[in-house]
Amino acid sequence: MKDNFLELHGITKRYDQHVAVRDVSLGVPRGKIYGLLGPNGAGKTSTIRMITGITVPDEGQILFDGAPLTPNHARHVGYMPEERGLYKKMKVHEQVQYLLTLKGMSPTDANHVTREWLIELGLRDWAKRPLADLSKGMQQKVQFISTVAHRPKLLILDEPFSGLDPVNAKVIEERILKMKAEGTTIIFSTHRMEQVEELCDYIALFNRGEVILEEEIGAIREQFQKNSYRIDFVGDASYIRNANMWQILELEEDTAHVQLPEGQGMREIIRYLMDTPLEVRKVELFLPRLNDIFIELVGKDAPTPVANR
Amino acid sequence: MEKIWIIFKREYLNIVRKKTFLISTFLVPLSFALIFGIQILAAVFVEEENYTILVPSDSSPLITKELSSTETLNFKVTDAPLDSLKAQVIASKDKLLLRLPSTEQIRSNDKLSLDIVGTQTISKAVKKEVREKVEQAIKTDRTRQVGITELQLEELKFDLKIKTQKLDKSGEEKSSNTAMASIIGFAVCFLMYMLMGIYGSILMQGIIEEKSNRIVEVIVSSVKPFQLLMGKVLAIASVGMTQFLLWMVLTLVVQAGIGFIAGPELMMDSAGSQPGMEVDTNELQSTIAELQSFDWTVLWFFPFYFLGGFFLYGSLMAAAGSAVDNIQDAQQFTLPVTIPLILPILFVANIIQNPNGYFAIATSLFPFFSPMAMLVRMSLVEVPWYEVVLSMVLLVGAFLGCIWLAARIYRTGILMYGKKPSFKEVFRWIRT
Repeated sequence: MKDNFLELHGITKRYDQHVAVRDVSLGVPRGKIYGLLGPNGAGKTSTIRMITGITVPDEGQILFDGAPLTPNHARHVGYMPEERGLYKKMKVHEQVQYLLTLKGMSPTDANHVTREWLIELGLRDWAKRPLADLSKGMQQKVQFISTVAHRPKLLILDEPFSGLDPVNAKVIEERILKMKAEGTTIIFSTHRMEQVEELCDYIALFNRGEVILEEEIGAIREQFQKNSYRIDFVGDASYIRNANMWQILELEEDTAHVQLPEGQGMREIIRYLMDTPLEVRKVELFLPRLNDIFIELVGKDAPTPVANR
Repeated sequence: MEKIWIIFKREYLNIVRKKTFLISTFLVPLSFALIFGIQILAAVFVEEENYTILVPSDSSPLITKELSSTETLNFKVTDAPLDSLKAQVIASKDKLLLRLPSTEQIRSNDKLSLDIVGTQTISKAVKKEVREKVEQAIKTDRTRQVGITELQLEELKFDLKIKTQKLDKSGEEKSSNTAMASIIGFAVCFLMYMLMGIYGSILMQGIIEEKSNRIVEVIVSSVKPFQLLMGKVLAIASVGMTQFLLWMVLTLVVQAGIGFIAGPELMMDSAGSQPGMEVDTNELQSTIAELQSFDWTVLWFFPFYFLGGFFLYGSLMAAAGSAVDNIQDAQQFTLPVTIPLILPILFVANIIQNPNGYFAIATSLFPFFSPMAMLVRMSLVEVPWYEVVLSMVLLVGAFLGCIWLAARIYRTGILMYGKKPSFKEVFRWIRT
């Protein structure tokens, strides 16, 4: 039994005529990074809005650290929506401080942490400038500060890296990992699979308002790996091509991707290769990329999940 | 409550610290003062116009012998032929040609006319002076005809002015001036319309801005949408009150200033020798006196009706703003709100005409019109206390209803992006 910081039980949300979220149950483990995946309109944002208390579910229950979610929990949540927004003409320091006091911090504390964070992320000289004077990357940092500076127990980030250059993305990523190390539970919604693979411990896959998969990330890949292997070699490729113990999925000059029947594995591959004159560099279990799993589960009719910008 | 206060503070300071607030607060009364001042100056310092008026010698002697030159007008009876007189007028813009009716016409007709011919537009003052001279001459002639002496005529002259007095409950009489009250009534009505319109749209723009730059989603993850809405509504209402108070203070300062600077000057002029000026300064002084004697209780009710009206119209404008992504789309929803706001301006004349009529009473009770209609009535007549109380109660009830309605639209609207919703959809948001 995993220790869940946040639990959703049978959550349903209807808008007007369509059902945005249908009977969703999730458990977000404490201190982990939990990815919400799925195509646009799958129900991720609707789910996040219920967790942040912006909307209320029509059915079901949300447990926050073991207790039913109430508006008082707002101060323990940090939420960065996908569509970023701050007051363009408000001064940076004033703005962050304002948002923190709305979270329930005292003006003095808010003032203090705002200054610390602005210094830490290199925005000290911009504190008294209106937001519109800052570059987009700097604005994102300001947004991030106003999301995390009140030390939320639950951090919800919707596409946190979109629009960030690699340097700033690295800065933010480091902060996220640091917060995780400090015990913050993080929910992470994104389209970008490589980020999910890099950062998330657990994922939930949404499609058409339902969760079709919720699992620890390593387990998912194992579940979806189809007993296929990658072989790097030097030598005559016909030894690979002509072997009848496997089916070739992909074959290039010095690398092959092969699938073995149930019950056979690495041992059989190595035994076969030993008898050939091939120089073997590497044999490894091929773990499917999340992207492939995603497409397989959601199907080709669904809108493409990878929005590479 | 605490969060409403935090939002209130930010919104209030955000507007009050803007330059536009300062400018509008100080420029509006200053421009009023300036217009007022220019009128005073125009009345006090009329530009001198000197003319030589050529009168053909074949004109009726009844008049020509009575025409005496003044400081500014020099009448010159001349034998020269008409053509050469015309040529003189064309040659000099200081010369005018006067064509008078004939003696028979003067003796037999009651409708007379005379022509002043010049190359430029002739000012009212000159026309008036010439007319007075000619009138005087004809009168003299006619009195002689009937056999009345000038002395007898002088004795017939008298001056009658009508002053209306308002009798209040305590039996005290106050002089009242309906024309002045009508002007003040209209001004108050228009000011109310402007303030509610301007502050309503400031509120709406703020909401659209928060929605379109998406900060609203961050904020409502910390506070309830209702708290955000109320914080904004109360803040902007307070900005309006602040501006009203500043205007009152400024008006007093400016009034004291004008009294101090222009007071002695006006006194001197009215005692002075220029006959044309006397009338104008008298008028000005009586205007000031009327303003002073005006019953200003209407100003005490202004804040209440401003707040009530703003809560009512402002909350509806807020709801309209929350339903759309940009200001252009808002028009569809603001139109049904702005129409009742404009209507009182259109029928204010009817209220002024009969401030105690059924129409005036009905409009001053109806919450969508009462902020304007009631103040117009109050400027003109003493409205019975029970009507005032009833209109206030109705207004409070109506704005509470509007705020409730707006809050329901707002909490759904701020999260809706993309296509512009229809009225039908918005009504569904109210029900959910």
